[in-house]
Amino acid sequence: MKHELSSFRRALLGVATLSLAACGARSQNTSELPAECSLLATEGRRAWPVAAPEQPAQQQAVLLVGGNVMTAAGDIFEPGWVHFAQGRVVAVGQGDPPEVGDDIDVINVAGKWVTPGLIDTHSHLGVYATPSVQATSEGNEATSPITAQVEAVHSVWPQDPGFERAIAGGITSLMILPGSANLIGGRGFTMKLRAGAQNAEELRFPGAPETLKMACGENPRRVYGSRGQMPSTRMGSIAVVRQAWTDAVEYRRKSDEYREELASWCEAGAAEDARPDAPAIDLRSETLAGVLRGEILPQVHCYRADEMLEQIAIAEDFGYRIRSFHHAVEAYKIRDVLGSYPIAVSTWADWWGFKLEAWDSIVENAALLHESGAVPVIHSDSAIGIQRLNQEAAKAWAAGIEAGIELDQNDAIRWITWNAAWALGIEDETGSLEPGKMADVVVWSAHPLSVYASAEQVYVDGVLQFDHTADIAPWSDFELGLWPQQEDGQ
Amino acid sequence: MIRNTTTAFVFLSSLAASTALAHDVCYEGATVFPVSAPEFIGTVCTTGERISGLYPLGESFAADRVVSADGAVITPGLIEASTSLGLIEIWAVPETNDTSDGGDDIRAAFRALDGIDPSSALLPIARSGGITSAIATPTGGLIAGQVAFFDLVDTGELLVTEGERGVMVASLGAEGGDAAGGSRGTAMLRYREIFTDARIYLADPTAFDRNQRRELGASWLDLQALGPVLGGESIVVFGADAAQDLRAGLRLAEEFDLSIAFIGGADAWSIRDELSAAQTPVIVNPFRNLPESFDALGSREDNAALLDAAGVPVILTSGEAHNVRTLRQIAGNAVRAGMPYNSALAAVTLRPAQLAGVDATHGSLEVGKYANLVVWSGDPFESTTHVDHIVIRGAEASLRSHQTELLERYRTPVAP
Repeated sequence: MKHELSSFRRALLGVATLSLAACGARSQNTSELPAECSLLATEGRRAWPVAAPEQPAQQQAVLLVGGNVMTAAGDIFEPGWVHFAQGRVVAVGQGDPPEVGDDIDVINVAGKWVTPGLIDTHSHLGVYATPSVQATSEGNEATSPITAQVEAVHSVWPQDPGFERAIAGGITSLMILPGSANLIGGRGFTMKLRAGAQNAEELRFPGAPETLKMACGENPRRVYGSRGQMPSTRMGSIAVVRQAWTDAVEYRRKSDEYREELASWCEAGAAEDARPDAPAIDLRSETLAGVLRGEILPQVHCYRADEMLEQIAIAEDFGYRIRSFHHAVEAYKIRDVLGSYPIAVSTWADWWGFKLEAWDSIVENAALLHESGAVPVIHSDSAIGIQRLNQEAAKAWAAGIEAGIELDQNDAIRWITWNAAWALGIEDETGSLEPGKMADVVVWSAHPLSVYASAEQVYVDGVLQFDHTADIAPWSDFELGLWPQQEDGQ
Repeated sequence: MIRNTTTAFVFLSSLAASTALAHDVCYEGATVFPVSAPEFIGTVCTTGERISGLYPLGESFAADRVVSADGAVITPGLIEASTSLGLIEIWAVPETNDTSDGGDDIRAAFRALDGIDPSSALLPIARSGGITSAIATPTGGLIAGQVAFFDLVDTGELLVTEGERGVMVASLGAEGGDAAGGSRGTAMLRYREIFTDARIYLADPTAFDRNQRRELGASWLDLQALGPVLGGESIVVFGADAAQDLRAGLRLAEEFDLSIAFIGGADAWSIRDELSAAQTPVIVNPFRNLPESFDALGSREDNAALLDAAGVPVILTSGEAHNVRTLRQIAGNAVRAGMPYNSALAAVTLRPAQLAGVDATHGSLEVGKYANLVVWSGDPFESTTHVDHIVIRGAEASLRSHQTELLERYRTPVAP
């Protein structure tokens, strides 16, 4: 039994998304062939298989009417309407809603504002959960500068009280990342917010591409340099990272070779005496090979312009594409380069100066990137900031307008919805209110760029997951009964 | 919060009648929030370093220069009640960090004043958020030291206002216990030891100098510095979150006749009646709504609103240095969580001035006070509002900064 599981995993590892080679195998009667051959047909993206999480179905179709709707796809309907059913947006429009049958729950949101669910591309909820103590410090596997084999999901504590606070801020999807102690810190975890998960895996965003956290600059050199270990400098960091990619290229070559051999062997009838030798599986290299194949989207923590250019050069040398820089406070200096790729830039509105590499931050960063055709995203990197991404976007947007940059309100909303979805590779599924997309919807008490706006209702996949009027027990078991006097304040 | 409104009205009228001389500058036509009086539409005038006139719309005034503030909002300059502003340049560059005294746990003689860099690159960026004054606050230790209240002028001068009372910063709870080298109980016994020894020392300093005293629990400098604290001439701001630690602070205040305030105060809402009865100021950050530590399990975003409604003097803090400019966003969030607007404004202007004992010169728009004011393009708490003019000690302060220079250098649009 143990042996079987192991060969199952090894085969899966060997076949990560070799769809073309798999075609031949798919057409055969795979039931007579060894396990490796049937697995060739699988879109194996991860080191081990993960069952698609069970989605709570939206039972009741909803029509929000009378409110102002910002679609994040360019339209602002004042007022407008949004119709969603079975977890998907059916239609969005201006003015009077269509006539609907009795089976639809028509909700009047006059005076309110409706946007897509917000998306945070940079969160450590669950891996640095509250309360913030050593026992919840799970975000950095700071034992080696390259830990591409680890996955944030395995550190995510689904009972982190921060998740419920995040949805109360209008967040519906987010990416949990490992920290930046390591040059390559491990896989990110793209998830949705929902009550009641017993396991982070249940919250996985269905079909979201895998992501990989990488870092440059001060953090890795500080962490490892302080131990007298490489890297202790930026040049050391580049050397370590280039070596990792060099090894990964060779690993991928062997892995691809094996997959081709395996495919031909399966096609030829899988004679036992001709079974190709499987190469040794290394989970670390497996992830890096996934990046080289374009299946895993790199998310690179970098502050300085020169370091971002260096990271782009490395990516070009090894043939992968960076999907998003993170923090990237100097991105505006190289916005022509970032705009031409494009590479998303996940940044703050106004954080600056806490370390030297954050010294040249300006609030106009996102707006300048927008102007150059890059993909600016306002991220949080904070259990507090994630609760008000709308305010953060408002600050960056207002600064851009003051600097004379042409921006409309849709742009500001896009920085925390569609652009963020693009950075995570989920823009076809969420990030705007358009027919067919996931019904991730927020009803705000006021214009979402106002500091006074609160998320009143938040729908995830069409299901009402947060309602400010509902007097419900906390999501997190941790908070149950902790503060019995809490009622006094209400 | 708002002073007697009748007095304010009389005050405005009599002022209008007695303006023979021309003011230096008048900001005309704004919605004015004096904070110490109800808001009105009108004009604020300054002469020299001071506010010299407040005129409701329609009353005449004479000025050398009139600046139109039509549709704008004028408030007192915002005051950050607890910050490392001026004491830190870059957190990760330790040699730029003057926030704390190293060494032992009692640092009562340590003065933030000695470390403030009035030409810090952080100051103009703070001004861009309407901050005109800050309470530079030492950190670390059981007793961290003495704060300094300074104005963020753009001249490179260090303009500190000595308050009617000093402010000493200290900690309770898990942090205090840790600083004292043990647990909460250790912190309490250390306080009792130190306060008692300070009395012994102060009763006869020469006996100490002649070595006629038993060994005392801290250096003579620190014991001396604690003098104004005992008896309540200076105020002690205790960092404390848990209700048990807030109550421990109230007990210490009673035992040693201290005048105290709290910073943090995660659980303060739960004992707000006690705090209101004692009129103990509480410095709160309304962003804190997570059970971020075991001391702060009771954190909730409407803490400031609940305290305010109970009559506790609430002060709002951003807790930031580089981003102290977010103080107005902090205030906006307090309002979002239920705090009345005028209270939130007082909590970032007049109340921090009162805490530092400088409200004779700071914190509200009143004739004779320093002309520390901001002309905003709209509601100061909204992120989409910006600073049109910031006036500190009567002079319009520059908003040019490292960041505005960077923007200028890189602003040129790139070819798509």
